[in-house]
This record gives sequence, C-alpha cells and structure tokens, in this order.
Amino acid sequence: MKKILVLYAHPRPERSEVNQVMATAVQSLDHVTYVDLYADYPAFDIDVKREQDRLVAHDIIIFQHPLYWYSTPAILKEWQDLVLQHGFAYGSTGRALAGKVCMNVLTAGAARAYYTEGGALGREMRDFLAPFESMAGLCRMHYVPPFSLYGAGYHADETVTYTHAEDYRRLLIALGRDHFDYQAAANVPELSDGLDQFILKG
Amino acid sequence: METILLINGKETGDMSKGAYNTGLIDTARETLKDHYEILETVIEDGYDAAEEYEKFKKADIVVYQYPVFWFSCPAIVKKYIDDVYGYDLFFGHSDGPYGTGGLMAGKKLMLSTTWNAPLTVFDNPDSLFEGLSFDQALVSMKVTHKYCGFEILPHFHAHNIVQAPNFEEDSKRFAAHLTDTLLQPNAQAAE
Repeated sequence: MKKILVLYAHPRPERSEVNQVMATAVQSLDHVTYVDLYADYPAFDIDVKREQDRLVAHDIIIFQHPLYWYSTPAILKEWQDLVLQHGFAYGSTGRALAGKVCMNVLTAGAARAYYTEGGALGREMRDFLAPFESMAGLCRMHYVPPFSLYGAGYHADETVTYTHAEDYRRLLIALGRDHFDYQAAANVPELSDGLDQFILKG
Repeated sequence: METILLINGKETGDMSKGAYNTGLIDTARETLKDHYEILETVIEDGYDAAEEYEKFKKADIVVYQYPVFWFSCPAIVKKYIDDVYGYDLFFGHSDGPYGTGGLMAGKKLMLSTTWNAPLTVFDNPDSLFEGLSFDQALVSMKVTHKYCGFEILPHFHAHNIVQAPNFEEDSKRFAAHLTDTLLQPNAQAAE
C-alpha cells in the first residue's frame, strides 16, 4: 500500500460536524497517518524537522481543510511557508518531494454551481487552489484535482455528509492500492463530480 | 481628506527580511501623505482585531503590501484576514444573490506584491508553471475583498527581487502607479 499523510487544518474542529465524520471515516485505515495541525501546533510553533520527516515517510500528501476566504486556514499556509524549505522541497538540490502525489480535500459553504465559470464565483474550486498546483510543480509533485464537499454549512444534509465521508474513504483506499486513474483525473475540475470514473476496479 | 490604510504584510524569516516591502510602504507613505490621512498596520508587530476593524471602517482605500510566498500571501496575512474579517463586520447576511452581503461597499482595495519569480514565467506554456496566469496567485485575495464589497484597484507588482533586486526602480514605478491610480482627477477606475 502507498502511505498517505493527511494534514488536517481546522481552527475550530468541534464546530465542523462534516470534518469530524470525514476524519472518522479514514482515521482507522492502516496506510493513513492523520495529523491535526491545529491540535499539534496551537501557537503555530511548527516543528519543521518533524514535518519534513513525515513528508519523506509518505507517498501521498492530502491537505484536508475548510475553505477559508477562498484559500486554506492560516496554519496550512504557515506550514507551507516553514516546512517547504529551499534545498528540501525545491531548488536544484531540493528533491525530497519529487514523485510524490498531493491534493486538497476540502469543505466549502457555497453550492457547487457557484464554483463554475458561469456561476457567482466565476471559476472552479481548482482555480482558487492554483497556488497548490504551482507548489506541486515547483516541488516536482503530481497534483490531483480537489475532492470537495459543497454546501457544507450549518445545514449540511446528513445523508450527503455520510455519503461524502464514505467516498473519501474509498478514495484513500484506491490511492493506497494504486487503483486510481491519474490520467483520467488530470484535467477535471473536481473529483467529487464523479469519483467512480477515477477508481479502477480490481 | 480621504483616509488610506497601509498594511505591511512582510513576514520576517531566514530568506526574507522584509526590507523590500517596508521600503515600498515608505514609498507609499511619502507619495500619499499630503493627499490622504494615513493609517498603518504592520501585521508582524501584532494587532487587535477590534482596532483593525475601526481602521477599515475609517479607511476609504486599503493597500496591502506583501511578499508572495508559495503563490499566495504569507501565513500571517492569511491569519490576519481569518482573525479580522468577521461576520457582521466585513460581511453579513444577504437575501440577494451570493456575494452581495459585503459591508465594506464604497471602499477600494489595492494589492502590491513582491516576487522572486520573474514576470516571464507566467502565461508562458514553456515555463515550470505551464501557462499559469500571474493573476491566479491573486484570485483568493481579490474575491475575498469583492465578497466584502471592496472595489479592486489596479495591482502593483515587483519581480525578481531576490536574484536581481532593483529597489530604486521598483520604488519609482510604485510611486508612479500610486500617482496614476490615486492622485489623478477621475482616477481610481477599478480593474
């Protein structure tokens, strides 16, 4: 199995029922290491060496977070700024992440239809996450499009939440087994539009 | 006299001492001080969310100056926004379409960013970024402020500031940008 590192960033996890359900769905998987960044570093005092070691020890890096102001919560940005050092993650001698896979798994309050070219926000979620795609490029990582739950506000539908959490689990199992069709997923805006297209049978 | 809030988003670290961004804030202050009342925040020096809200309420124009880290703002700028841009302060409930609950309507925002990346790597299919548009790194900031009701003013950017810095030239260009955008009659046309 490929090893998966989930870096979870939610400043108030007790208020996110959706993310709690998602956490429960994947934490029990043997090939998944689940890290709660706000719990580990409440004062943003990120241990760079420990985080770099975690990255090296895994094949697939998942950033799990709510969308905060069309971006990630601040601690994930701090993690990027501190951990992805020149000479480690990028630069002529920085190859520690080369060949690894990364993606965003996120929850957003607004509806799916808003995140389209003709929608209220005028662009896809993937476009808001372009900084991550560029980061992957600079670190020679393979970027997978986001897997998002939309409409994840206070009135999130319970059935939708549990179905999504189960899909998240299926995604992490498929990635772990290398039963994921990277080529088919490469250019789509959003995995959750049709996850089954990307999960290979067998 | 209108009021301008200058926000210095430098984040000091091993590779970034903040001098370039602080220098550009100095340029803005010098250029604008005879024409606007100036308020300032240096995020790294600490802030109180309620005081920041009062500054935003008073300001007609807000200028963010920050170095681009990982194709986005430094973490302390993101934290500042997460801390300060509260519900019922910067945005509220709206019965209208999505994005019409902004409480900062009538105010204008300017972004001024510094980059190590040269401009030529953007919108260039042969570069590392495979055609990534330069504006994509600014989308979250722009949409955040539009959501809060701001009009977005033309953006200023300085490139190659680590490998081939030319502060004097960038400072002159910034002063000219501020003059064109904020000091000319009928200026302030939004992007």
